[in-house]
Amino acid sequence: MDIRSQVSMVFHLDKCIGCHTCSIACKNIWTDRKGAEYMWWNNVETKPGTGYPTKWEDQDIYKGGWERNGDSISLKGAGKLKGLKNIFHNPHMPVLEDYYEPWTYKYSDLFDAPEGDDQPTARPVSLVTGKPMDVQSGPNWDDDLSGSPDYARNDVNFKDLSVPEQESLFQLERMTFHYLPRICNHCLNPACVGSCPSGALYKRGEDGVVLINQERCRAWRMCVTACPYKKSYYNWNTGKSEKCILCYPRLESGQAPACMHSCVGRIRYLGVMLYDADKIHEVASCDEKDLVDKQMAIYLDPFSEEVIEAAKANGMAESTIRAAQLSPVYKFVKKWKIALPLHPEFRTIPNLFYVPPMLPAMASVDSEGIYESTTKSLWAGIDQYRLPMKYLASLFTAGNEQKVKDVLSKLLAVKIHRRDVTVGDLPREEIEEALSLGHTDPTEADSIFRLTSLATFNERFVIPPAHREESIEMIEATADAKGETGFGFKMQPARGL
Amino acid sequence: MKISYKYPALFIGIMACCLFTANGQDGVTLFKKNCAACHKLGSRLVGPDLIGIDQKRSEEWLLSFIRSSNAMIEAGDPDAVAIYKEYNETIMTDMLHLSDDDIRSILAYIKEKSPAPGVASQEKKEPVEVKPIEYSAEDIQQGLRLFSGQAGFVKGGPSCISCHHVNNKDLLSGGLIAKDLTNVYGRMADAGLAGILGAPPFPAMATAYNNHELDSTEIAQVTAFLKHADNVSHTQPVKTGTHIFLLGGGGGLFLLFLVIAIHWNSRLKASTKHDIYKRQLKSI
Repeated sequence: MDIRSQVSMVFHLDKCIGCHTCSIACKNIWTDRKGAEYMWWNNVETKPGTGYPTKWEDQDIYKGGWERNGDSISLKGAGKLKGLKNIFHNPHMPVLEDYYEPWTYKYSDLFDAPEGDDQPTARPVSLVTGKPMDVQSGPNWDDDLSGSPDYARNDVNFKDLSVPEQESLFQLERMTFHYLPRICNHCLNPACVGSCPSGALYKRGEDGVVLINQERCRAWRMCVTACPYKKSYYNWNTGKSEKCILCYPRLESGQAPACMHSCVGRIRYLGVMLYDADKIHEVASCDEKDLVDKQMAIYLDPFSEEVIEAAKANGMAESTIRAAQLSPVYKFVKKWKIALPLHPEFRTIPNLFYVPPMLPAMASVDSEGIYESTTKSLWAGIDQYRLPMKYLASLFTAGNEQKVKDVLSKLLAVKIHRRDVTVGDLPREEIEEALSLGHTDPTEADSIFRLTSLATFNERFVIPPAHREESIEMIEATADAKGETGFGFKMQPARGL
Repeated sequence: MKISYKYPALFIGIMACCLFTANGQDGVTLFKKNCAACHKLGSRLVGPDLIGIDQKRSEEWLLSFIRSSNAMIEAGDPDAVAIYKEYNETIMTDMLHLSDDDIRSILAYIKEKSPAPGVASQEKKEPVEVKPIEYSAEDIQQGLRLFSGQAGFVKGGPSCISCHHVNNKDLLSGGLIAKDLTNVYGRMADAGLAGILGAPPFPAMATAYNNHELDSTEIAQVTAFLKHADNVSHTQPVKTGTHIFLLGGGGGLFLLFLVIAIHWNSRLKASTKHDIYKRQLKSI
């Protein structure tokens, strides 16, 4: 056993209101710089939809992630031979049009324009060329457009759905959408790290944050191709690639990452997971149907004596083990099993888990064409969901519908149990049936309810102390280093800026 | 330019050190070691007969010619150029490792061997007719084997092909670091080759065969092969490789462009939002 700690996340999609506060918080802190305007380390997508960059999930286009290769795995679009072959033109990278051309407005015209017949307007100006431009697209251009033929109908996750199934989704009565906020998954088997020819990308030993060394990056952009989530972005101004850093300077000082701290719906949870690094290869190269189960098995019980002993032998601080025991992520993912990884079939073993959205059917059209807004039971049961299970399975379980059903049954059981507690108008049998279908009991349902709805800041974010003072006190005065962590260059890069 | 002075100086320095160890050598030894491969007293070999050379040329001229005949020919000394032309434009190896005293002791040896000035001029010597030796087919075959390294020399000297090239259909391309020996027999003849093979005057070759001398049978066999190679040289195809080089280069370039074209064709040709953008109205 090689026990390591990983700072992991859970996003509760039922709670996301799609306000983009997280994206703005992140942008204001990290990517409000020249060359970084188009980067959205955190973005919120509408699903069904094509996401950002457009169709990022379609690896036939972008060749991201790993693919199984006999007993092992290899990078789909990078790696030694493929990388060498493509090293000077990188044919599978998203282009600026797949993202969007960033722009601002010439606000000064509103004040300085000479008097005329028309009211002055602020024209859009490209942040790349500096010239006036037509705004053609944006990072959330398809926001809330759940029925649009350009975006929603081109969702990559429809690939396994038959045409009638897809069509029924776009009937007015069933039409639905949910949001999918995304940040870097800080994967256990990161494709970006595996693809970098310069060795600039690395996974931090102490907390598993994946970072790009700005001094070693040589702009090969293999990570842009390799990351299946398209969360590595190339900064054309500095000539370096950049990605979400999980606000490590904030984590090191005990604060939650900016996107999580600012989250209006309080959908985000952060905590430590202990995992067995010896099993990474086995998990990443296993059969597609076992991917989720095997990934769940790689995370270990932080209360087990054996695990604690092995973690200590690996040099892990006791405070980190304590944080792992209190971790809300551990509860959602391992204890209650109601959070699932996004696109596990990319085989990167992502560490951002999603509680899938409920989206229950509230009405239907019967055979006589009559709009029926009553259902037999509360929330109509999971079989009546507006989004087909196949769709959610394509997002979260590599096609395993039963896994999604299990999670949704438990979430429904929690709702029905809480209805019973707060209103008490449901027949006993219905409650019992829901609890048994959801494989849960009132105690567990109450804990899930509590952490979902009432959790305080300290329950949602259990950040292990970074002990930076210990790691630097041997070589420098800790007081001097205080307040020096941040993003930027210690040495000017040779080109750019 | 610093370096270009350094290396000759270093070379001379090392040679000078070597000379201290050879200080006790007299004219005879020095002559045998440095001159006898190409020169004889009393007859022409590869180079001119040296009898009475002290009468023919001034000591100053001899000193500088022996040290570096190359330099004198390049400088355009009329006598040096004349000799060079007379002897099939074969250059005499520079003897930079010999000190003035060494050369003087060699000259003294030659003088001692030469008849008195008066006698020498009176006695008109008949030019000696050198008859080429006929070699057997076995000798030629064995010579080829020795040259190409298929058979080793008895004392373990390196095979000729590692440094020399001979254009012959039975032979692989040889080394390019020393002279092409295809027509060496025509220039040197039996005696010259025997001299060089017996006691190599060229520094690199001397070092290579130091303690690994060829015996007389081997010398004869290698000479036999070289004679044969010279005789048949005009019938051998010249392997320049130019056409392979050109064809290979052209073909390779074509293949490269083909591979690039195939790869270029499989690139992403349009962005994922190409159709959407195409539809949009433009104001600029």
